Amino acid sequence: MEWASVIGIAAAVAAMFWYEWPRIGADMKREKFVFAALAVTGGVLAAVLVFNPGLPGPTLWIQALYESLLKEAYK
Amino acid sequence: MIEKGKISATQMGIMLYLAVTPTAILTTPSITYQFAKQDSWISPFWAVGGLVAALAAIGLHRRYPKMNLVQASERIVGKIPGKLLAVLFSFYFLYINSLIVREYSDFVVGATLERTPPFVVAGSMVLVCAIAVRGGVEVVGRFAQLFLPVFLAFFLLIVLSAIPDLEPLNLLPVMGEGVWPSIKGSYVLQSWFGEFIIASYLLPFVTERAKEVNKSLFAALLAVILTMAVTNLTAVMLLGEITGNFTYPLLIMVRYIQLAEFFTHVSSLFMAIWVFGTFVKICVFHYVTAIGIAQWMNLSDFRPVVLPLGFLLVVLSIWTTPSHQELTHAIATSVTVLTLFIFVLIPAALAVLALLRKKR
Repeated sequence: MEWASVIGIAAAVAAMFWYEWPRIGADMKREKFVFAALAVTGGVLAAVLVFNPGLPGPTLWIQALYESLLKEAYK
Repeated sequence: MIEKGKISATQMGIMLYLAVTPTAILTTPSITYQFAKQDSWISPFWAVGGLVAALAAIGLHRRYPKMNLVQASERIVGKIPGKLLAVLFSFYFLYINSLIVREYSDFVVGATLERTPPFVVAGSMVLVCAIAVRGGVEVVGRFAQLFLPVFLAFFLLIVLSAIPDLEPLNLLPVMGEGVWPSIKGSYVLQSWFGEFIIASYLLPFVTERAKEVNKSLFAALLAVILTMAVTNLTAVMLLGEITGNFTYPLLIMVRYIQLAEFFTHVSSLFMAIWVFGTFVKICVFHYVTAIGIAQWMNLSDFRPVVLPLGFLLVVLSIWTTPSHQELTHAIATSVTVLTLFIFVLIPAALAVLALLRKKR
């Protein structure tokens, strides 16, 4: 079941490439790089989350930071 | 040029209004009530964050008219700190947008499409937004213009229909414990008001001259304050002491109202209208994120980054918190502090620095 999700994610990323890549001009190396970097990051993150949904997310990082700062303030 | 489009001052004002209001009226009546009780309608008027953010945006724009605040920051504090700020702002917009998408999908799944997986709800919304954003600032501006009347009309319809059932006595005693409860209630609203810093990204694309634009900006701020105040007012007058117990007081209000015998399922209509508003909100945030990333990496066009950012947006919205309660708690505490710091303090500092430098 989980592998189906990974295939779905890969399909979504592939669809993005299929649509956008040709529209980025041949001379726009930078744009291609940024696009690819973001797309791959998204895909990898999504795939990791399929297997590890409990991974702490950005909001939890911010909460943790906030709480440790509060503890410092109250010392 | 990364973006060749132009918008009018009115479009900018509407974009700002719809960029802040939809999610604000959904969940804040409840959170504000928990702190301010019957004074929750006064809380939106303590919109200090919005005022500072708006003034900072205007100040920076006056000094650097064709640039948004992160571009200007490169001139103010130097190239490298400027680039760092650009990263910070872009990813923070992405993060906030992921919270918005999460609120949206939680609401839709929780209130209507209960068996739909959240990523479907989030994904379909973000896909449509991405298509709109790829069209550029003009497209987003026109969507805002298109949906505003519908959004407002339905909002007024709900409020007016509630009038027979309202209990003004619920508002008493007004400021019974002084002014402090309403100020406490406004703390969480500052996140939403801080979002007015988006004006800094939109101002470079406005065709009119400074005076008209400032009017639109402050008109938008006032409109947001009034909308929030009316929402809180109606919620407290209708629901009274249990306002704070509901996650979505507006939804409860809508379900409570009976318009006419043939108007069943008003809540579905409310949902559809609210979705229009949220669509514009997500579009505006996504646009700002895309422009920010494109400028940071010195790209010639922002369009290639829209789709992958959208994908990241959906992933982030699911990843960010394990539950809605955590989300609400985080928004009421840590996220507000961070938002105030990033959207209000940093721009204010930049604006002050920019204006000081000119005097030299």
